[in-house]
Amino acid sequence: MATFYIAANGSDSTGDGSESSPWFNLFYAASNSRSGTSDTIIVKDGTYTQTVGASNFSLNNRHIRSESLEPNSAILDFASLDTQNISGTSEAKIEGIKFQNMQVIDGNSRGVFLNFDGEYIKNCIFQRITGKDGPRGRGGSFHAGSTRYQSCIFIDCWSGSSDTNNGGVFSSTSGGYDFELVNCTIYFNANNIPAENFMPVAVIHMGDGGSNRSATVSNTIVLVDGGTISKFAEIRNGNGTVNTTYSCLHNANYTGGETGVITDDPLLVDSVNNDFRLRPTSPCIGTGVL
Amino acid sequence: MGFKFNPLTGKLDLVSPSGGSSLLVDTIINIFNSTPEEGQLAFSTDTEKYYLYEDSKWKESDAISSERIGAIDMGAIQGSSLSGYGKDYVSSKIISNCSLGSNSEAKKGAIRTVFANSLQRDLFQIYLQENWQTILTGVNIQTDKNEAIVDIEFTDFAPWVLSLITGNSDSKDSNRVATIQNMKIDMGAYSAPLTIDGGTF
Repeated sequence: MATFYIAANGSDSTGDGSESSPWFNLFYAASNSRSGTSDTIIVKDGTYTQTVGASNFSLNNRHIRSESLEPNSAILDFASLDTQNISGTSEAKIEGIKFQNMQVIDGNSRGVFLNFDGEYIKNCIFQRITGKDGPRGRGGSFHAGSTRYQSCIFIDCWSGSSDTNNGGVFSSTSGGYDFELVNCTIYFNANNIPAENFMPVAVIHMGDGGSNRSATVSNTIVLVDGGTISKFAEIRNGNGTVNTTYSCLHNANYTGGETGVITDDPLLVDSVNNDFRLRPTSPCIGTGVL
Repeated sequence: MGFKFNPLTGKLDLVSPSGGSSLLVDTIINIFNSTPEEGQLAFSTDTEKYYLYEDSKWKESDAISSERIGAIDMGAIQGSSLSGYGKDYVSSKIISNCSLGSNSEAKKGAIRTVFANSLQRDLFQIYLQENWQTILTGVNIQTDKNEAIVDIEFTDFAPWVLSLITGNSDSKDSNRVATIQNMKIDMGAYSAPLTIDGGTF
């Protein structure tokens, strides 16, 4: 195992991935971290407009993390690059990075992240991670995979499909796996999402493929606002199971019943401007499960 | 009447009243300037100590007279010392230049020092709730640099390490606030910082 670096002032052509001579593109670094598939790639603080996308790319067991782990300190903007089928194996970890504007452009991938089976993705922010309405359909921003999402924020992520059976942020079909959401905030501003892409199944859909996969959701906030809030988010079991407990589903299509789930306004500081801190009177304070 | 030290018994023997050796009560200077008979007992009004004239010189006793400050007991036997000492207690005194050893009296309030073989260290203990309770000593606070996210911990007082922040200071939310605080957990990716409420600074 070795450690490599990327930095906003780094260079893929002249750098060697060391801390003193870092690379620039994440996927270039992942492709060229030469000593093995369990390397650590540290993303120096800064905002990067990436120039290298990825398609059918496995991170294997790499650990990708920001250097400071401070929120919004390392921002990777993929602009109009094609990013699809990014996977990981059992020890892969992603930590403390903001990914934005990742999308499936070409091909018929089911999601930007597909079959990411890593150890965890935590303290990350994903904004505008969008799938594509292709012939294989039913994708989401994150399709299948069995990792644990811990303390992540998902902002305006959508499927890209017009099929009402498709998944939104997360989907898992017959080939999918089990996954876990803990202390995440999933936010949609209806004004930012094309109407045809904001389908009733805009959060989690366990698919219709007949493989009884399961997902667990806890301590998580799902919030839709913006506009007239004529749209809503939904967690749909499909042929699998989504076990949702101790979470807040506000303006979501939720019929209730699960332990600890509330539908009250989570009273975030300023969600429209992506400030997801809890106000002092928020019903979400201290009401999660240990 | 006077007293004479008996080296065979280590006690004072009552001396015959012959010779008129009644208790001499005077200042220390006058006592020392007097020429008493052997066995003369004296009490100094300024030092408030007792003296015995023996072998042609005055010898000072450590016995000190103290004012009786308490009420008398009920009943025929007056067992309480009214000067703060009793056969089974000491009251209203300052203990200086003493050390605490072992103690096999397992009763409420007993204190002792003991060496714990399992920990290979001395412990200071008090007997409460029908058990010897160890009083924590030597508590240090350290910054744990061995973890991916450096935090602050109590350590070095036992085999345990306790995080300074109640709950789990090693697990941070996306806004770097401890995910578990005061044994509670919030919903969402941004935990609310624990607030102090109800007090006055």
